[in-house]
Amino acid sequence: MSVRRGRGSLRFLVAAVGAFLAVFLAWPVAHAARRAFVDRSGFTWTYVASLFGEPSQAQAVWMTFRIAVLVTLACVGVTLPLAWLFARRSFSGKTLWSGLMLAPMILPPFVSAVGLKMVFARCGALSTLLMNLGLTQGPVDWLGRFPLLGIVLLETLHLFPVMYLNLVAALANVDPALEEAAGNLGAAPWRVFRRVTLPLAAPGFFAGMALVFIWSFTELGTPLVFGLRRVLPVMIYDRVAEVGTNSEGYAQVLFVLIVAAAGFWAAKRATARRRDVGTLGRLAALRPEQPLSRLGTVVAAVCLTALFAVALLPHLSVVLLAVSRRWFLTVWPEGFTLAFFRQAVGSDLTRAALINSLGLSLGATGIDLVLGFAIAWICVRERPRGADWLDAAAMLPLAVPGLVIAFGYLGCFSGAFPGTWLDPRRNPMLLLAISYAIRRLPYMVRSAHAGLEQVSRTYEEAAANLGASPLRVIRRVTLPLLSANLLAGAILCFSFSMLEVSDSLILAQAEEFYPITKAIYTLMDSLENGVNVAAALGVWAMLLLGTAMLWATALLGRRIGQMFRIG
Amino acid sequence: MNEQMTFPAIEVRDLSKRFGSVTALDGVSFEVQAGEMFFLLGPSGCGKTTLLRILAGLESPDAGSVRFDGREVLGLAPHKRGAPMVFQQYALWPHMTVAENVAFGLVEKRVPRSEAASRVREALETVGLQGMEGRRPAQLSGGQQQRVALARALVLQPRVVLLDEPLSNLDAQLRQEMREEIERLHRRTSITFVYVTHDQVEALSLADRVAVLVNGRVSAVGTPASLYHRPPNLFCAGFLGEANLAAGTVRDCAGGRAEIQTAWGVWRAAAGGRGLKPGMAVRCVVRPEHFRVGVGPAGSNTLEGVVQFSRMNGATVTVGFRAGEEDFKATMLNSGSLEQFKEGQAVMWHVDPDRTVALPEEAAV
Repeated sequence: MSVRRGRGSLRFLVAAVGAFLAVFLAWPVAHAARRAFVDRSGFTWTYVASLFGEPSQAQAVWMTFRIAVLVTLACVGVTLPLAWLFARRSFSGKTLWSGLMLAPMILPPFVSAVGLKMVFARCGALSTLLMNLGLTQGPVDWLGRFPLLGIVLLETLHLFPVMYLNLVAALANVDPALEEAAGNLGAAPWRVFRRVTLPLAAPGFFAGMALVFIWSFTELGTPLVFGLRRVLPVMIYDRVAEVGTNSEGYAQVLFVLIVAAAGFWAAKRATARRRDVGTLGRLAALRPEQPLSRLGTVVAAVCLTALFAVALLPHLSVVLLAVSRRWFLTVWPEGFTLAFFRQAVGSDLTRAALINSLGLSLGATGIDLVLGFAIAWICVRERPRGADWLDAAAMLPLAVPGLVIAFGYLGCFSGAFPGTWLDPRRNPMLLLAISYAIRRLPYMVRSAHAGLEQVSRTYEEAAANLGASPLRVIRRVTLPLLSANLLAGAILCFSFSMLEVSDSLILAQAEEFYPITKAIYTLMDSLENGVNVAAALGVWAMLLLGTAMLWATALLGRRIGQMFRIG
Repeated sequence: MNEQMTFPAIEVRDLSKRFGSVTALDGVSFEVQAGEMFFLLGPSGCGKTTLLRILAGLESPDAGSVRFDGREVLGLAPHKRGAPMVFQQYALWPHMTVAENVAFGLVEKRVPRSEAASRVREALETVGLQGMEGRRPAQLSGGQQQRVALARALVLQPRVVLLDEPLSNLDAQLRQEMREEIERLHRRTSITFVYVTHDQVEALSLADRVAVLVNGRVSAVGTPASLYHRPPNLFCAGFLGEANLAAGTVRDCAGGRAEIQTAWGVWRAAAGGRGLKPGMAVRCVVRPEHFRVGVGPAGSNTLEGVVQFSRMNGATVTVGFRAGEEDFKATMLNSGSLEQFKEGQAVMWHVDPDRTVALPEEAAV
């Protein structure tokens, strides 16, 4: 609405959002950026220069790029046919499959990596199987030989749902009349998809690609568990201990920030031109989903089964790990037990961790709902001067590894407010929730942003015109029309908060404040079946998140069916 | 109270609006009387939708004033204007049923539930949609959506309703039907309608008064009949209905009458525009239906033309002919035979000087 009134409340809103981001995002980041150029002896280019000059660092830069590009390409390859299939065709079992689509995300990659290691490691299942079949002479360390492949595989399997969600929403919103027009003018279905559908869905497509690229560029847990130390995030992590004395880590942080921001900016520029792809269409509601042919159904079922068999392999291995008495140099575990599950919920450490994680994630999701919608609203609807900067700032967390934020918090808040309720050393819960929220804010903003762009503002104008005040317009028209997007954003926020690794490892220092991930990490290092209990805790987390996601998908599916195929 | 009665329902003064380097409105002024069916007519891009959106409060002008019943409303937020709008694309909320859509404004006004329900039912009955309460907009045809959009505005019993090209998304048959429907609704209520369209037929057939907009300016305001029969400028003459424009030069001008030297002799015409002077280049506007065959009574404006084509439209026939360097069209009742209008035939035509309006060449706007 181009309503010139209410500028005062808009200014207040912008100021409040800006202040929050300034304190909890800009401050720690600026602290890190400053330290890249300033050490005890004053200003210096040394650390930034050594990033490219020093072979080990240059190697890490190259390797990090390689991983991110490969993961992005792999995700495009997997997602494009998948999104087309789910957005355009009906076939039996579709609901079940689309429910499963989120399953790969319910396990943090570093836990998946532990599971996968049991399969691919030197003494793991695959190696043993090949030996037993006589195909290899001795045990083969698959992960040691192809660490890059393992990382790319695992990150792709973990991240393709993110791109899928973006792309399928974008495809669902392309006006079918535009596709029909192309077909009518002589374009074959594949050409229609390439020349009309894909360009129109480009915003969602680019958004997904940018998310996956940036995520894989900043992923810490997976390379860490695979023992690949020559990637930037791990190198940064390794500097954490010497953060007070050595500025090299800060230079690496700065570089990661710049790459991620550039990636985001490029995607944004590419999509900005397509902002006004009209979506007030009435006829779009009538989009008929074409049923797949019998052969198509079989092919789809086979491909989907294969995909999920691979995607859920880490989950399966984690489950096996959680119930196996012994799993070493055998294809299958020797003997099963449920004891680890009891231990996983029975001990004080793990029970507290579950409760902590639930509370923290709910809090973070709440913060993100309010903050994300406010930012998207300001940037899409109001567009005051500097809106692009606000949008960029809200996206910045994509570029900021959690460990940077967490360490920034530790440095900034413990330094400025020692011993107070803001001091994470005393009680990190508030800052943990905020750091989760900041980290996942981009997903909520993206989600709300895309939704707002796809909900014609004429709907809001009509409501204002019929007597609804700005707040009532938001409550009665905007939020209901946006509910699917907000719900999707909330699910992402909640589940990723439950699985947040780096912030949790750094900020939660006392056992009473441990979230699930830190508890799992601690257990993995402990002797005597620690790995098994960690896996069991991972299974509990999987069950919890799986249930939440199933419920949300059912909800989302119905909403989409009812009202989101309008434009 | 009496004083208030004298205020026009809507008074627009010197409205200007620019979008970047594009001037959408350039000093627009007009008044709309209470209960009027007032049309804003103009070609696309003339600024008429911007004007309507300013009335609704959805855009802010750079300068000017808008008064409803004498009260300045430019400072009012859209939801306080009390001027519901029927959007070109209807803008029915897809997450609400028909009844919820119609009830929307009543809920905002805190109308008690039972009263709201009966008013919604009544409004839907008025537009002929009883029994559709539970449907979603997507389950309705274009015409039905249009009716819901109308009901959604009328249910509020407002003083003013704004309509933005409400019929542009309907097929010809439905458009005719809805035109009559809107006319009926307007007659039944005492509501002021401000109706934006680019379709001159809609304006001519429905309007009490029309403001013709071109390039962000008001070209003319008047009743459809006055604008049609005595167009104030050549743009209006050409935009409202069809017009033949015979070129000529003013010989003499007095008392609202003018003598024009044309290629076919001296014509007499009503002097239009602002002040014709001898020697001025003018166009004589003749509506196609005012041409008659033959020499006509003494004092008629006459010309001889060669038939180019003849065409039957149903109740009427149209004959195209060429006289000198100019093409003309004549329309007459279909009397059965087009024999005398064979191509190449020379035909004598005449037109009543009272049906001829001379307008200066330059005054296009």
